[in-house]
Amino acid sequence: MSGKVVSPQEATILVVEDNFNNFLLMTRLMAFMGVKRCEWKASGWKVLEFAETLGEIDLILMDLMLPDADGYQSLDTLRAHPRLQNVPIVAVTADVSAASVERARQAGFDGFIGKPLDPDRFPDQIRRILAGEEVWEPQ
Amino acid sequence: MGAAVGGDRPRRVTSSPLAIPTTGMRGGLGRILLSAFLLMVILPLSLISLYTLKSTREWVEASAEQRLEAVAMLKAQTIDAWVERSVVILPKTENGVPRLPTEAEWQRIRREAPDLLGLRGEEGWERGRCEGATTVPIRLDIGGRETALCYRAEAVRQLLEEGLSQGAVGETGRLFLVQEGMVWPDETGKRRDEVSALQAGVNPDLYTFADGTEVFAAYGALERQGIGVLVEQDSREVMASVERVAATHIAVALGVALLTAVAASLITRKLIGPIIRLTEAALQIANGDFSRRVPVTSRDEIGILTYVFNQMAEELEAFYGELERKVVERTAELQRSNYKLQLQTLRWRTTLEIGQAIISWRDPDALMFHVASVIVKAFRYVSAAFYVVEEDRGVLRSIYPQPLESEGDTKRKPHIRPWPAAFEKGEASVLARACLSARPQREREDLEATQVWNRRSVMRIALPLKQGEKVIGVLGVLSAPIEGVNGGVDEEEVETLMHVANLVALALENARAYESERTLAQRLQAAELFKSRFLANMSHDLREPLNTIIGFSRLLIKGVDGALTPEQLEDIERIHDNSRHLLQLFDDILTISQIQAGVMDLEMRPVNIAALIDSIWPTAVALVRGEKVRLLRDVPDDLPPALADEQRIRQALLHLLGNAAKFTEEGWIFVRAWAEPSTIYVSVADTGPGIPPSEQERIFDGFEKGKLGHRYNGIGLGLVISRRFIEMHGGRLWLQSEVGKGSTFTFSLPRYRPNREEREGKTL
Repeated sequence: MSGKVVSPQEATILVVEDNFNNFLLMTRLMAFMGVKRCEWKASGWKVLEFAETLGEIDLILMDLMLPDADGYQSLDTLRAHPRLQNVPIVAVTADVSAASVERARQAGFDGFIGKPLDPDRFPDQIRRILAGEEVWEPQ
Repeated sequence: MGAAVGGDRPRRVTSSPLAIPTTGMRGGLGRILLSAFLLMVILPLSLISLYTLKSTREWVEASAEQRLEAVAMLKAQTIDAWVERSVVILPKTENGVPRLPTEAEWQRIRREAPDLLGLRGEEGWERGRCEGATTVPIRLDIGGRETALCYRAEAVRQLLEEGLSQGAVGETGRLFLVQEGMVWPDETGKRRDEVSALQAGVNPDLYTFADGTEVFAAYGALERQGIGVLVEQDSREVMASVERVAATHIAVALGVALLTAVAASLITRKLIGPIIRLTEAALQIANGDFSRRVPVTSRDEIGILTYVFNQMAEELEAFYGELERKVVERTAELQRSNYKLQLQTLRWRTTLEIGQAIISWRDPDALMFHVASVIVKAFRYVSAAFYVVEEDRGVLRSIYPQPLESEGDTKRKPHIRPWPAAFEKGEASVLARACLSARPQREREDLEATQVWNRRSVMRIALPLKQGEKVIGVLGVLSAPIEGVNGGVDEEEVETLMHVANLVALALENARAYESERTLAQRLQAAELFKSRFLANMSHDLREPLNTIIGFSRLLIKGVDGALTPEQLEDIERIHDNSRHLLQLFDDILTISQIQAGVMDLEMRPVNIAALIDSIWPTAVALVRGEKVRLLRDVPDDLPPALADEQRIRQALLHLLGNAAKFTEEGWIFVRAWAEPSTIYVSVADTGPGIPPSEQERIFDGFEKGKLGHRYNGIGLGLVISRRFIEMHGGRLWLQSEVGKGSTFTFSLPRYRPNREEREGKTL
């Protein structure tokens, strides 16, 4: 975690998610709590492809089950990118087993949020992450 | 074989003769009897003889003494009278003392007593002749004066000897005149001591002279003092009669003994003869001649004994005959079984080798070649060939020929037809017949013979390789050439070969089965992989849209997109609730599918049940409806850990709590946990409506819900899954319930047992 504290209103959050509905749900929930800038990319490759065009990114929420490469490979490539290497990346996945959480931790993710997203809790989780808190909540 | 054994029947038994120590025992009975007889006869006879001899001797001695004494007395009296006559005619004085006779008187005396040759008085007078060898002076005390009357010696001798018959003193008898220590006519003077002893009366009547002559003696005293007659007789003569008696006795005794011996031996022979015959027969039987019998010759105990002996011998003979027969039978049997055993050993060895081949050879053709070589070597065949049925033909797949013979052999050996490369099922060959009949077939093939007496043949045996009733191939073997047209391969060998054929058929089947099993296993593996992938994908694909529905409906309910009218809110809530319900159902179905597909693995770890209950407590509290239901717990903090997959146990427990909460409208829900030595128990009790016994098992059966009463709607698959989870742990989940009072679900889990390393790790 970079430790940089950003308020929801100023934050730019990148969602890497192949399911648009999920992205939309997240965007709505985050908008509800005040996040104005949300970017969406369907895969890790897309992120790299458009990395230069993306503005300042404060948080990446990344699905671990992506079509072209899984989240762990994407994590490595994103971390290797000079512009993205300091951005916190939080895993968002339906695989909520303890092993999965552990693997994410080992791989170097900065947090873990389990799917399905709980609309009642999600805004709060994002708020805490933006406030610099580590969130590991598979359920 | 039987005849040979029967022929030397006694020999076989005598080969181990009975060790009877009969040395010096034969004839013992006869000896004893004879000795007894002789002893019985000779002993009393000898005793009697001895007694008789002794008494005879005593009697003879006594009578001899009496006789001699009588003779001595008689002679003494005769001499006394004789002397008295001389004394009477002697001239005497007035007082009776003899005086010197005058010449006239002397002449008268001479006339009257011609034997008186002289007289000599004490006073010193003498008339006639007194000295000289021819005179015997007899000194007499006449009238107080000793007067010697000298007689003619010849006359005295005559006087002594006359009138004695021979019997009186015998031939050796002698008489002596004894006067004052003088013994006449004893020339030697040796008797003086004996005579004085006799006179004294102390000496025995028997004495022995220095020259060893033994004599009986008697002494007769005259009226006149100092004069006596001594009679002697040689003891040998006296005892001659005794000797005769003794000799007679001995002769008689010997004769009797001889007679007795003869009689005894005759009796013994008569008595012991049958016993000896019995003994000899018994010995012969003991040595193995069971045919021996003894004729019954006497009507007595020995006869009975002989009769019984014969009977026993007969029984023995019969018994041994039976034994012999049995031995012969058993020997033959043993040989047969030995042969069988050898065959079995061969079969076993071959089977073993083939069994090993079956294990090590996967390639059927290589296997068949190997088996053929094993068979050819083991049974000494010329060759063995394997055919495999393909459509309606048998095609040669493997052949093991005999190693090439040397040229000399091939010249001499007749040609043997080789195995065909293939055969048609319909043809008449032995291979085709075996194939069609599914039974072993044999065929004899005569070899070209140059001479009639040199006919040789081989045998071709074809054995079907069967799989059940189906013949999949044929094993053909060619036996080595044999002399003549009989024999070669017998039934047992065919049986062994059939066994081998069955093994090979099994091996071929195994090879095929292995092949198909392998493909099947690969397919199954693929199917399994597909199944778990399918389940994972379906889980993802089904849940994604549902989650979207749930998420957005929740979004609406939260008013993210603006406020809703109460009706709208109600509708959206209905959508939301049912979507959640559907999601739950999907999850349950997927879980069950995973369990049934066997793709669900448990992550077994030590689980602290108390902590687990703590962690789900908030959820449980949220599940409980209203304030009329209290949620209670009794879980000791020091509850030992269970060995379980925490996630699954959490799910099961939540299912149970969810059910309890769903059906309990008033009262309490009580969660308990306790430990037993090897088990941890967790129970969830409620004060719900309870479940009737008829429904208690059904609620664990899955989609049986439709059959439950209306009030159990919505119980879902939770119980089914929970029970499956618990059972996967090796535990049990059961229900105790009473309608109107409530239900208690209890499950058990194995306790965690740290192994040694872990324990040591902890203590360190």
